[in-house]
Order: sequence, then structure tokens, then C-alpha cells
Amino acid sequence: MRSASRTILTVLVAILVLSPVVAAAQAVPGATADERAINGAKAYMKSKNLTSLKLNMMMPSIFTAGSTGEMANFEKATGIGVNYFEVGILQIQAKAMSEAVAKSGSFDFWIGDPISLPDLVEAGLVRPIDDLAARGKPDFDDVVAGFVEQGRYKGKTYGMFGDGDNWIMVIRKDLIDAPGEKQKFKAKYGWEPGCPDTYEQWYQLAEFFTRDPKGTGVPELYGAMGYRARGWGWRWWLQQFYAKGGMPFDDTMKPLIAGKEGVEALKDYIALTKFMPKDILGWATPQAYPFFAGGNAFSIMTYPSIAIAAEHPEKSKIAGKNRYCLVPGYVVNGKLVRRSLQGFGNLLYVSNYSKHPEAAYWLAQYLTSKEVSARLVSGPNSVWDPYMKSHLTDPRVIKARTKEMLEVHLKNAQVTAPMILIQGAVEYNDVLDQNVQEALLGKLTPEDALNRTAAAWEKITNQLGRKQQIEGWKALKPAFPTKNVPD
Amino acid sequence: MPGVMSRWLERERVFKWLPFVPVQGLFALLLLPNALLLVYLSLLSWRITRGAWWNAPFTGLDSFLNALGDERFLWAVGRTFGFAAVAVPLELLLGFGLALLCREPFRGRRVYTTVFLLPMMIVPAVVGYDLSMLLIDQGPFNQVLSVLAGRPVTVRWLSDYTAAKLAVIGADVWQWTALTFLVFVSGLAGLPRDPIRAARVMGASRWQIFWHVELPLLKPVIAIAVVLRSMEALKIFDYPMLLTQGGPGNATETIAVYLWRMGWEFARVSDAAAMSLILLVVVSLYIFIAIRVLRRERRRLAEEGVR
Amino acid sequence: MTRRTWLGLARHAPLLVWTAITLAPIYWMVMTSFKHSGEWVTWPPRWVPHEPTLINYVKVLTPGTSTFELGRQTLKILKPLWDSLFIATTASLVAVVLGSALAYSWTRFGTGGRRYPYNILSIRMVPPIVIAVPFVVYYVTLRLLDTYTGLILVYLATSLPYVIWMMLAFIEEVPVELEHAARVMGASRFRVLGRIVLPLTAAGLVVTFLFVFILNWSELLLAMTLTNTEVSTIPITLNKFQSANEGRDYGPQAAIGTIATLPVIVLGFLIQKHLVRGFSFGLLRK
Repeated sequence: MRSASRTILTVLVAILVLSPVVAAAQAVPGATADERAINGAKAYMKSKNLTSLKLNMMMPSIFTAGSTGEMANFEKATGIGVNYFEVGILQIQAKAMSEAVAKSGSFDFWIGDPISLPDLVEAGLVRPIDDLAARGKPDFDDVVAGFVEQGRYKGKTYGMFGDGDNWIMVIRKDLIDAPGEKQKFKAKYGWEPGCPDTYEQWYQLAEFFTRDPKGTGVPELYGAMGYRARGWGWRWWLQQFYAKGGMPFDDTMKPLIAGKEGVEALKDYIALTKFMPKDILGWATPQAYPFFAGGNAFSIMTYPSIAIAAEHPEKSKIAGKNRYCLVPGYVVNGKLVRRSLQGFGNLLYVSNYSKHPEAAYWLAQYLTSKEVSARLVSGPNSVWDPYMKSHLTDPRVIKARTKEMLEVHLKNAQVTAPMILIQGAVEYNDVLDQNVQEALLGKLTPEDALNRTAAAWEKITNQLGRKQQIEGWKALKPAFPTKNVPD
Repeated sequence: MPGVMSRWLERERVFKWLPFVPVQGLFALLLLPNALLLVYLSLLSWRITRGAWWNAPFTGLDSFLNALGDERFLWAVGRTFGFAAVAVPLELLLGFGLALLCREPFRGRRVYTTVFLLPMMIVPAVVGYDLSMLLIDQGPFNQVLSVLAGRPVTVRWLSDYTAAKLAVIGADVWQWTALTFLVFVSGLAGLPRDPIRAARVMGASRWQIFWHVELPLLKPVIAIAVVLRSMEALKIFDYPMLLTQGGPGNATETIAVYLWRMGWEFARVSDAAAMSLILLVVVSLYIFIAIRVLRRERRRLAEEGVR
Repeated sequence: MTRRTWLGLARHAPLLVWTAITLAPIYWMVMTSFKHSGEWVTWPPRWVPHEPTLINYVKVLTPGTSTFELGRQTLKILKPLWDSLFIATTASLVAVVLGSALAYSWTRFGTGGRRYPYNILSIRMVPPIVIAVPFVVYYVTLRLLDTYTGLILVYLATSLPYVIWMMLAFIEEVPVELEHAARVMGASRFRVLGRIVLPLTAAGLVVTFLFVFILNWSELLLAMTLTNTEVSTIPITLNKFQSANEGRDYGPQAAIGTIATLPVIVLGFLIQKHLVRGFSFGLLRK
């Protein structure tokens, strides 16, 4: 008897002592995240007795150009290559949903936005990656401002964060510095033109700098740009709403958008559109960026990759003439509240139906490591944006984006709010988008538009299950900024 | 072929069913289960985000009530019928007019006919993309309009509420007038000579012949054209999806676009299924009427002994 | 001017206008395919490229070896071209064979009942979106999703109504007496089909085939729903650039459009005369 219990004790002690060793043995070697990714991938290939493997990746077409170089590097190092399955950026959701039904494993991983995360997880499509992250130790700590949270849902990590899409404001300093302009502006509006602190100031700048010298009705210079197209416009309203101190829901999931803050934000949103090109209703990044980089507008509020387009040595007419600004805000209760929006933000997701989920994960870790991501965010065709503290000091990133822009960008990150990232997000956003656009077109009054949206939101919440939505909303709260203005 | 086998196949009873078996089999295997699945899904409250559909709760008519109460759905239905109601008559008129002009042989007629049939041959997706290029603010279409109007014209075809609707209708008319043209050309070519000759002998004027003799004889042709075109017009998906994605706002969101969104973007499959069935009911009514008209016209032709 | 000239003018004027309307978009697309990116959106628009180039076609047709090209695989249309061709041809061929046989059977023997063609036509009236969602579920179970067979079967089912209707007219024109005479002389039914009916309806068969071919070649919605990575058709490839907020690579898209359109235009030229007869739907009088 005594020898038996002693044996058991010995075994238990052995397990206790050895398990950290065993666990450590499971951890992948490598000094940096990308090295670990490569090693992990190589180990995986070895364990499956493969020398080469092609993963299917679903990708928004707009991303491919900037990413293929790194994919090729990874393939050279590990033998794991990528077949691209390109889809229009706003169709990723539909395709992913279709796959959630089909369960065919036709793509192993994909790039998607955080909006669809809750729905796709509930649909069973996304594979949680905590287990693999424990072994590979990706560079999550270096990511600023808790963006990593956007890849988490119900306590598990699903998406690898790869793109700091918090918006930035860009203005043309050459136009301000042109002779006589500063005085004229100050005389009219009473303050020295520069980066606007409030939306009212932005409105004034836009008004002043919309120039139609020949009186043709088609300005040669537009005062402002933002996105107003179907599928995008609602985000720009949401930013203004947040800056007004508004929150989409209260703790019982009652919609608050139709209140004073929402209506005023919508009115301002509509008013500012006056100074934008009329075609803005049909534009997204591929049209807006070249337009701004062609020198046709004074200011733009958009994704940070605008810096690459605006500073491009060949394609841009305004390289070196830009000033990068903190996002404007509103004065709420006597204090200025600036808010930027994480207007998209790309996460790399692994499919539950993939045959090689681990391989896909290693590639994702590779792409989101400090070194590789620095290369990705500084590439000439890139739409990936800086999101790591190390990017701030990386010379390549500074060169591509300018130091000024980087600093401003990472400051903006401190006041960046997420989009509405709960189950049914696509539906909530679509009905908001539709009504906001109808208000913009004058078909509805702003009050009407927001009331209708609020009513539709209530319906959606009830259909999804109120209790569940309340929990989801509560879980999202930590992702919201606590500061009014950046330090 | 072995003798017994071939003799068996020769029997009329067997022979005549030969093609029917695979065809009906195809329909039965392919379409029938889908129809049943559609009905079943509509009686559930299933979303793709709720796990497997065979586990979803059976809620009976809930999805249907939801659908009937969904303003956006009703608007989409109305909008689609509205598009068809404008596009189809336009196509009929244009096609008929062009066919009339091309009726008698004249120099160059062959060229015209060939050209007029071209749009029908083009992939609608190509048409959508092509027109989206032409209709941009600074595009050739506005340029031509400016020249014709004598002053700068900048209609926002793709971002103005009404103009976008016109653009979608325009795309349909541009492409499918070719079809109505074809139907009318063949119809006019098939008009019997005798009644016309007789009327001319009796001294009727050109106009009278047209109005009192030819038009009535063309009724079946017109019926065909209407049925064919409206059938397809109610389904439009390609143009609104490609030109405007249902926008601006919901100006061009047809039923097909909305159902697509409902099923794949919102993942509300049961609601999409219920809406599909409601749509089916509405379209069936239409089909029923259309088919009765067609059959009546065909029968009338047979009775007139001119077949 | 003589009356005849006035009449001539009255006739040609509207015809010319419609010709211009018809040709302009096609012309613009073909021209754009020869423009480099600097010329796509200019003011005033350029109706003839100032610096014509073949670069769009090169981009679209060649496999490309640099890592940049690798990522732009969407623009490579060789695979979608092949897929479209294969699927459309197979589906249309089988549809024509089965549908014509069925039309023959109905015309001669009345199989299926008097209302059969109308019932079949009603299949075509159902908007495909209605069956799209259950179809995915169904096909997944049958493992037909994203396969050639799956899409071919669907196109077959949707083409049959048109085939039957069009062939009805042509078959009705074959005199029954000829067939009876042949049978009296001892020919088997199959022989009658092959030796008498087939040659007399050849024109109709060709027209019908080409018509449903064009339909299947152009179909978008079901193709989008039922394919993923394995199969991709031309309309899908075009659609990848068509979410109103996607990059508008006008030049390569125009090249794809031109390539997608040219074969059907050529086919259309060839069958044009026969199309008129095929479209009589049984209403053509002799």
C-alpha cells in the first residue's frame, strides 16, 4: 500500500515538474514572431510529410497588390504558398456566409473586417486561435490601443489584427500657406487656419477652400472629402455621432441614435457634403484616393493609407504639401471630444473547415509580426496601415508615411472607437446606411431617418434575442476609448 | 443494338417517353427537392448564425408575417414591378417601331437588322460594367447629352436617386429591345398575305390595313413579346447589382437584390425563403394570366386554320 | 426632294439613331480596352485612344510571373473563359438534344399532355434568387457545390423550357407525311429521326443551341451562388470588379468584356437569319 501511494506521488510530482518543460517544448523556437511563424510552419510541414502546400486565401481585391510579396517570401521559407481567391471587399461577408452553409473548406483563411466577426463565429466558420497563439506567441503586445480586442469574441481570440484603420484628417498646408489666404480666412472666421479642432471649424475651412473661379457650378477645388457611398457613408456619420458623445445603444440595447446628438451629427454630416464632389456618393478608396492625390480637394478624412497615396513620389501631385491632423470633434459639456473611427480594420481569420488550419495560422502570424508588418505597411501599393508601437520608430514606415503622419496616426488611435461589432452587425449597419443616404439625398429628414433606423434596430435586436445582444454590447464596451483627447 | 431491345424501343409507347424520363427526372431531382426545402425553411426561423437548419425551431407562419410586415421587402416588390412596367412597354414600342421600319426590303436592311440584334448577345454583366463606365459624371454619355442640349449636362446617373432608376431601366431597354425587335420582325414576316391583299383590293388605305387587319393578326406576337420580356424583367439582378448595388439609398434595390442581401449578408435564410414564396405566389398569378393569354392566342390561330 | 427621298429619310433617320445608340456602348468598351490607364477617365472623353496599347490584353491573358502579377489573378481570364465555354457548351448541347427530342415527342404523340409546354415555361418564370438559397444547402449535401456538374445541371434545367418552345416551331414544319412514308417503307423510328427530322430541322437546332448558349454564357446569379474557388465563369470575374466600391480597372475590364462578347457577336451574325424563324414560337404562318 505504502509503495503504491508513493508511486502515485512520484508520478504526480513528475508531472508537475515536467509539464512546464513539456509545454515549453511545445512552444515554437524563434526570437521574433516571424521567425517563430516560419519555424512553426516548417515543423507543421514536416509533421505532415509535405514539401509544398497551397493554401486558399479569400482576399479583398484591393489588398492583393500590397501583399503578394510577403506571401512569396513565406513560401520560399516554408513551402507554404497561397492561391488567391479575390472578391470585392464588400462581398466578403456574403461569401463567408455562403461558406458557413456550404462547409466546403474551399478557402483556408481570409481577410475580413471586424463587423462580421460575431456573426461568422456564431455561424461556426471561424476557428479560435488561442491554442496556436500560445505556442507561437505573436506580437499582440505591440499592437496599440487594444485593437487586439477587436479580434476577440466571447473570451476567445479569432482574428489576427493586421491593419490599423483608424481615420486621419489630411489638409493641404500649401493652400493655407498661399499668399493672402491666412489673412482672408482669419478676417472671415476669426481664427488662424490650420488643423480643425471641431467640425464647425472643418466646415469653415471647407467653405473657404471650395473654389469655383469660373462659376461653372463644378468647383475646381473641393473643400472637403469623406466617404458617402452606399456601404461606407454610415461610418462617417458614426464618427461624428461618437464625437458628440453619443452611443448607439444604452445598456438595455435601446437605440440612442435618434436623440439630439444623432440628429445634430446627421445635419452636420449632410451640411459638409456640400463641399464634396457630387460623385462622392459612388466613391470608395479606389476613386477617392487618386482624386485627393491629384490635388483636387483641400481636405479629406479617411483611412491612414491615404498618406501613401498622397506622398507617392510619382502618382501624387501633392507630395510634401500635406499636413496630418488629429481628428476633429465636438465640444461636449465644455470639453473637446475628439473621436476617430476604426473604419474597417482587417483581421486574418482561419476557417474551421480548412484542412490545414495550423499552416494558415502560421502565415497569419508571419504577416502580423513586427518585422513583416512593418514591410507591409510601408509598401508602395499597400492598404495595410500601421498599428504597432514599433511602426512608429521603424525607418521604412517613417519613410513611406512621414514621421508627422505616424505620430498623428498613433495619437488618433488613442481616441478611436470601434464600429458596432455585435451579432447582426451587418444588418444594423445596412439599415443605418440606407437611411443616412436617404437623408443625404433629401428623401428623408434627419429626424425621420434616425427614427426609422432606431425602430428597425429595435426589431433586429428583438429578432436576434435581446438578452444575447445586451451581453454582446456589454462585452464590446472595453473597446471604446476613455480619453477625450489624445495625450 | 440487340434486336429485342431495339424492337422494344420502337414501340410507340416506349419511344415517346424516352426523352421525358431524363427531363422529368432532372426536374424532379433538381427542382422539386429545392422547392420542398424552400417551403420547409420558410416555416422555420433559421439564420446561418444559429447552427444547423435541421435543428432550428419550427415557427410556422412567423417568417411569412415578418416578410409581409417588412416595408423594405414590399418596396422592393413594388419597385421591381415598377421597373418592369416602364421597361417592357418601352421595349415593345421600340422593338415594334424598328421592326416596322425594317419590314420591306431596302438597301442596307440586313446591316440594320444585324446591328439591332447585337445587344442581346452581350453578357448582361458586361453591359452593366460598360454602362457604369459610360454613365460616370465626366463620361461620354453626359458629353453627348451636353452636345445635344447645347449646354453642359452633368446628370449623376449613378448617384442620383431618380437618375439611377432611369439608368437601370435604360440598361434593360438597351439590351432587350433587340429581343422584342426580333419577335416582331418574325411576327410581321409571318403575316398571311391573303387578308392584306383582300383589304387592299377592297380599297382600304395603308393606315386602315395596318390598324384593322395587321394589328389584330399580330396580337399573338405581341402576347409572346409581353410574356417573354416581363418574365425576365421581374428577375433583374445583374444591372442593379453591377451599376449601383441597389443604391443610392434603396433606389434600385429590386427583389432579387434584396433577397440576395437578406440571405447572404444578413444570413436570415428563413426570412429570405418566406419572401421568396410570397414572391412566387405573386409571380404565379402573373404566370397564370400570361399563359392563359398565350394559349388563347395560339388556339385562336389554330382555329383560324392558318397553321 | 422627291417624295421617295423624304420617305427614305423618314425611315433611315430613326434607324440610324438607334444604330448609334446600340453601337456606342460597344464601341466605347472596345476602345477602352485599347487605352492605357491615363486615358480611361479624361475630360473631354476620348472616343479614340490617343496612345493605343495592347497592355490590357496582355495583362488579362498572360499568366504573369512577377509576384505582383501573381496577386492579380482575378484579371486572368483564361480559366474563367475555359470554364464558361465548357459549362455553357455542355449544358446547351444536352439541353438541345433532350429538349428537341421532347418537343418531337410532344408534337407527334402529345406526350405529357396538352399543357406541357406551358408548364415547362413556368419553370423559367421563377426568379432564380428564389431557389438560390435552398440550392446551396441541397448541393452541399449532394457534394455538387462548386463543381462543373452542378452548374451544368442547373443550366440544363433552366435552358430546357426555351429549347422546347423554340424547337416546337421547327418540328411542326416537318411534314408528318414524310415520316409516315418512311415508316411504311420499313424505317425504324430512330432512322426517321436521323434521316428525315434532323436534316429538316438542322437550322432550328443550330439557332436554338446558339440562343441557349448565349443565355448560359451570360448567367450570373446562379453562378455566383453555386461556385467558389474551383469553378468560375466570365460574369463572375467581371462582377469581382463591380461592387460599386471596388477598384475600377477600366482597361483590363474592357478587355475582358470585349473578349467575352466577341465570340457571341460572331455567332450572332451567323445565326441571325435563322433567329427570326426560331422566334416564331409556332405562330409563323407559311
